Amino acid sequence: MKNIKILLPLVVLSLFVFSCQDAIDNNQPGDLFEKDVYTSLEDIQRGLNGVYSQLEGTNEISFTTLFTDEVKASVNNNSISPLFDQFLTRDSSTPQSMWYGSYAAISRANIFLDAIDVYQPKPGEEVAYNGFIAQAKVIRAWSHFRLLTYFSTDLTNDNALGCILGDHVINVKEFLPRSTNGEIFAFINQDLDEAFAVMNNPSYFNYANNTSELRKYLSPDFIRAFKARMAAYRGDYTTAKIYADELINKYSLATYSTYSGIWNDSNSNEVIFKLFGGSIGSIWATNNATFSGQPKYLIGYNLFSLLYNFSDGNLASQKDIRAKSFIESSSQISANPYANVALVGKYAQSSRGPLIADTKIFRVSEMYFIRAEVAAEQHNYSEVQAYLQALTDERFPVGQSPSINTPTSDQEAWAEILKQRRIELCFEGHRWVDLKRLAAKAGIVLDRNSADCHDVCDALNPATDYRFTLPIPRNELDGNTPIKVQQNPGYDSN
Amino acid sequence: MKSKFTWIMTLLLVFCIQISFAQQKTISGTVTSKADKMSVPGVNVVVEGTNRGVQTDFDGKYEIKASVGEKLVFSSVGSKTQVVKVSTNNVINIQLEDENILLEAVVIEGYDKTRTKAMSNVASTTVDSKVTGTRPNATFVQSLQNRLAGVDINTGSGQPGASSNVIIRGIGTATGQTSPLYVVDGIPMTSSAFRSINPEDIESTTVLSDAGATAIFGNRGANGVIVVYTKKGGYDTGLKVKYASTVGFSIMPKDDYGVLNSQQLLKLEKEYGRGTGFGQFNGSEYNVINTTPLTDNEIATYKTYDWQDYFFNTGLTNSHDLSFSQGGKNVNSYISFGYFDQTGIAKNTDLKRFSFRSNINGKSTDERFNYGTSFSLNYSKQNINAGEGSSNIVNNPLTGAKIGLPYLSPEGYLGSQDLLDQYLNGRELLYTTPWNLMDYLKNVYYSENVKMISAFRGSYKLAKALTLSSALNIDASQTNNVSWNNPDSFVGAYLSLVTLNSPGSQSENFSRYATFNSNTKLNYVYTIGKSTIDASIFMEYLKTYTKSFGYSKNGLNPKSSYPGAGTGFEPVIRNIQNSGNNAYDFNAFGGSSGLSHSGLLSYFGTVDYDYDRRFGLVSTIRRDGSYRFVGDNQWGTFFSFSARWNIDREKFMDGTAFNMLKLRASYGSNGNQSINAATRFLYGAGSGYNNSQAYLPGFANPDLKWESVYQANIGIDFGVWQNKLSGKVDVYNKFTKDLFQANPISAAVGFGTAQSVNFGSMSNKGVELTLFYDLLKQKDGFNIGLNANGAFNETKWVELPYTGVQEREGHIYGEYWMVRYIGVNPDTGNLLFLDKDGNKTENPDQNGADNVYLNKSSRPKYTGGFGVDVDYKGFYFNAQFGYSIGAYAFDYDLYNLRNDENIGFTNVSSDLLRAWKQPGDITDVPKLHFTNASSDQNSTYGLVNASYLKIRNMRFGYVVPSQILKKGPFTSINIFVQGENLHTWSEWRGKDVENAIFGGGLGTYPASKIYTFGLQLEF
Repeated sequence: MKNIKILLPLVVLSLFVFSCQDAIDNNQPGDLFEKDVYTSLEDIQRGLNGVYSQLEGTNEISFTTLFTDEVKASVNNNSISPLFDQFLTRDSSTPQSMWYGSYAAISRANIFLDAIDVYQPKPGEEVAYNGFIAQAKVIRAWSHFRLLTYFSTDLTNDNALGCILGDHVINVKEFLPRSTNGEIFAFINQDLDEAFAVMNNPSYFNYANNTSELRKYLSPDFIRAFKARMAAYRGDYTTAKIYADELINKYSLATYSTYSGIWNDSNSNEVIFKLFGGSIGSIWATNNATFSGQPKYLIGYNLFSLLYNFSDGNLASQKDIRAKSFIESSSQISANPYANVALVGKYAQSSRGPLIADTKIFRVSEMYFIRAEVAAEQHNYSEVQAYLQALTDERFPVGQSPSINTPTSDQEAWAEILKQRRIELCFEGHRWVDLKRLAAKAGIVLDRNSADCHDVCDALNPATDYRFTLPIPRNELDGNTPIKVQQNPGYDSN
Repeated sequence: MKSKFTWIMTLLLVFCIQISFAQQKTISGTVTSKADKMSVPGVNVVVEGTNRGVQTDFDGKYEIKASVGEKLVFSSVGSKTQVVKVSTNNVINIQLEDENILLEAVVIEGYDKTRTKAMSNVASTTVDSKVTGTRPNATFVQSLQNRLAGVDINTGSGQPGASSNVIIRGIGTATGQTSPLYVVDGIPMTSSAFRSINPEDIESTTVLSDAGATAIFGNRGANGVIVVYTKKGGYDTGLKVKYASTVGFSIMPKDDYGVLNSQQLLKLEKEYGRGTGFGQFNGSEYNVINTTPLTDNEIATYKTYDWQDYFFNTGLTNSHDLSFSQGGKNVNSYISFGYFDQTGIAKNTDLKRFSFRSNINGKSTDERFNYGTSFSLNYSKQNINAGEGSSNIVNNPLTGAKIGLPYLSPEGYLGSQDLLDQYLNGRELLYTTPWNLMDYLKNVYYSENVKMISAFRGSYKLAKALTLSSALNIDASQTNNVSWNNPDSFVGAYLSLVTLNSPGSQSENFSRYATFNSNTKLNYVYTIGKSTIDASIFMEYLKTYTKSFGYSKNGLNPKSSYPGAGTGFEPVIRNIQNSGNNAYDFNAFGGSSGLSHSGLLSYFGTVDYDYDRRFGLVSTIRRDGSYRFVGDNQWGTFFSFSARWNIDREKFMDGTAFNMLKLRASYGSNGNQSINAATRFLYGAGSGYNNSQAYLPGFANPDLKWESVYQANIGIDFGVWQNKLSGKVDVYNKFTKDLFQANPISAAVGFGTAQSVNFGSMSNKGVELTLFYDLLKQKDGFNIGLNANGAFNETKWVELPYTGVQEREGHIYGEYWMVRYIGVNPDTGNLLFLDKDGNKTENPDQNGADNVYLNKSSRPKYTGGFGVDVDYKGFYFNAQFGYSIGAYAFDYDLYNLRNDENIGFTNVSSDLLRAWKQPGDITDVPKLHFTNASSDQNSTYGLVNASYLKIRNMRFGYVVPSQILKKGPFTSINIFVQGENLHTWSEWRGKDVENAIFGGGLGTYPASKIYTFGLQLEF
């Protein structure tokens, strides 16, 4: 009896103490740990969907449109972006979102590749499983290329500084410097070659099924287009020619009648890859792309003049389908550059709603330009003219297209290519890179009409101006010591 | 009873040392207050001429050994000392009379500990129900403003029932929670729920400031602790019924921006070249219909309409409280019902509250077992202005009303469809703002809350010196927020146009939490010679279960839909034109659901040593475990030491004016765990590319741990000339280390720009002073008492992980880093600034090169209040003032009203009539179309000194003398009139300077002026 007197309270006490431990239990209902995630092929597909969701293509569009010579501010825009005034520092929005966004995609790809390593594909699953790995590698390669495009001073120089090499899951306690372009390109090519070997296989990717829906996913043709563009940016026109030719043979240009359907996603003609997109059109407008949709930025007058031909009559009677597709129909056209209200209509709407559309990353049109660049590099001016004319012919009603003059010098050839790129690829995020690459060869500078100016309106020279390379953003400088000495020229490094 | 507890005694025998006193018997009893029949804790009961002494416990009970013929001395600060000779009677109940009205009769410390002021080591201040009761404020916290030194209470929003921001001794965290811990009847809770607690039920509120007092709250005490007790009944008292009622009205305080009338504005528009006065009737630059400016005759025909009159009206306050208290020999009770109804000064805002409370206390006949329960159930419903605090002009009348064009009138509003047509035709929203606001009133947003707080506490005296007590508490709260966009409104119609759903939408969010808290304590008191040791060990368990869910529904039928009801939901319609991934539903439901558990487990102990009531030492140690942290970081240890020296008890103080002089010192630590960041790497299932399902890895920092606050405090409590003047002074240095904040990380990690880490430190240094002075004290004549409190605090960043501009090491918290604006250039009419070297310039660098640190902060340096209490033969008057000095805020309303770019779209300030016209003009307003506008937002152009002095509360009343009441049924009648926030002196031109100190003040609900008439009856 006496023992019970002592034991009982001890038992009661111990129960009390142990049951209290639940108060500090870390686990929450619904916790999902990595070890429990990938147990089937479908799980891996879902993991890859997560990696894909990090792909992003609107930053280059918004930055390019604001910083270069594509737009002017709408009169009732009371929050004009500092980028429009060519105000670019390590605190600006674009360097930050471009740098951090690209690495988010690289990191998710690396985490994915590490995590699915534990999964043993069952018989019959190997093709799909290897395909998932291949796509993650393409995303990793693409994101590295995006970083080089915007943060490397000179893509044609393999010894210039590139970006941080993201070849593994990087820990918070690792502090990595920028690698050279050559090192990054080698890594990109290795990823692309491995992926291509898996994906360029009819049992994996069947071109016959290359529908509009499938063009939102990475394919062997994406790798080809990627390689063509990368080679052109690097000045490696031998490689560029190979892939551009392959794609030109495979994809035909959209015609005068099908062209406008590309932009509202009712067709995917000539689109090699497009990113499932959100509200791209809100770069230029608040509510919708029409006159009453609270526009923020309007088409700049010099670009407008390239698209619009007053001798054709009003907007509806323009012969160039690009004028009708890119200038929204409720625009109030005026020959007075100050009064002209030309609304950006390239992403006016899709079936998913106003201002929403897929982001076209690769169209075969670009391959025609790359081919023209190859020809220019070889001083073959008639071939330059031929590729540019072939494209222009598809943009006008049959037999009504203007003829493009055959250049007589390298400079004329590059200038014509740059001008045609400006028209065809406007609002797709090309102009800034094109100016950086080709402005010196073409002998031109930033081309803003004085009517488009706001606070600052300098005709920047892309060949010499430091702002044609983005700064490493402040947080990276603060959080990663080795990179402090690697800031791009012209920007604060502290 | 005794036999049942034998086993506990057996277990705890080790703690137990029997002390016996020869030829003595045990005297016990209860000390109550003569005034309100409430038990008085902390009364010193000493056998005269010996060192035998005890204190009454929280229920006013004491037990002491004494022999027949000895004298017992009952003393307590603030009460007349009584001496009773011990006779054969073993029970001596005492009624103490108040000596004077001193707020700090008893010092309440943590975990039900109370002491007399002389015996307390800590920095704390208590206010009683006189301060918090019968005020027309929805939460008792509002009524504490400017009453407690070092406690900066700010009504961020004056919306009825909104929470106040409370900061004790400065901000001590970079990103964690800054609000203190509230402990109501022993139950720890957060402040957001106070709109449901009836201020009339509150007996006392105590703020604990120094580490000596707060360390016992360990992980939750870093921001200070506010301890609240509700009222209870007294033993052996008859039934007392108390009825209190207030009725009154509240009005919108006026701003000083001076908007223009129609004639002034139209002329200005004409001069500026935009808007109706210029001949543009459409409010749109593109659709210019008529560019012939109005003539003076035409301008004269316009009427002026003040839109503030439309959106703001007189609010009504109405409250009724009924309470019953009563006590028998072994049980007492307090039961109350409350009703509070306050309509706000902005349309569609109000608070309604029903509350019930029952506090019951009892004891066993042998008085060894004591228990108490408190239970309260409250319901409140609050209609809110959903756009409050936002710059959105079309859903926040607080932003939009003052900019409404005076030449528009409510008659011009022709319905939602008309408004939508105008908008779609390109008319500026700025122009139609007042009509949009009128339309917005069709929508309904409200929040309902049901709150239940219940507590049980019991104690059993295991042996003479050993007491085991336990408390079990439940705090449960359920909130339902409803947001209803009328299908017939502009917003409802516009959203449907964009989303292609049917007009109107409704969403509801439901959240509930239930916190279970238990606290077990073993207390042991040992006296030997002149020394007393009082030691306790505690264990505390706290677990919260949180549940939430919600839905949103697009498409409401305008005829059958009702806010919060499910009637009128339009059917979900499949979009048949699209297929595959592009198909979607119109009028779809969206839903959300959440479930989480959180908890804390703590072991702690405290040892309190007293020598001869002259010296005291207290030390506390506490170990806390939190569910938030993982591995070794889960447990944290906090401690404190505090000491006192009662100088007035020294021989050399005999004959001085000091009746009380005490030196206190403390040092200790606290933790802050109220941080929201992941400590474990988890995956989430979510939405992926192209509307697919995806797994997404998350980011975490498993190394996260508590933010620690170390605080040193030295204080003096004093009373001179028999407490004619009394008060206290405290000096403190609070140092926070392992600051919880965002540390920049390399992009290559892949998870954003920063990671939550413990890094860096900050300090708060300050002085607090509290004074009471009895200017005049006449029995049955004039009594005048003065009170004053003041605090100085400076918060500094000591070490930071990044090179941000607004926070910088060595600089004060919230310091402004701006370009210095010095006035309008008399030569050009543009703004004139100083560059970083002090040279005048019109175009300072926009990149920050010309910004300087201004040594001006968004936080005040000095805060406090003062007041006077007067009574004369039953008439009484009191007034309480509050002040805050040294805070600066950017006045966005002023900035917008003074911005010439708004001319033609909105009304503007009459300041613009003083605009610079020609070279040589000396004025403070730049010319219209001044050319360096882009430089002003980053400059001191809109920065205003937000210091203020406010009449917080003024009351005049009459207590009917008891002689008159003898014949009637009432025992007490008190009638009064009072006013809240009666007047403010400040450079700030907006409606309420307090809005500015927290959050810039743009579109925030000001605290209204409230006038009430009150009546209190007891019978």
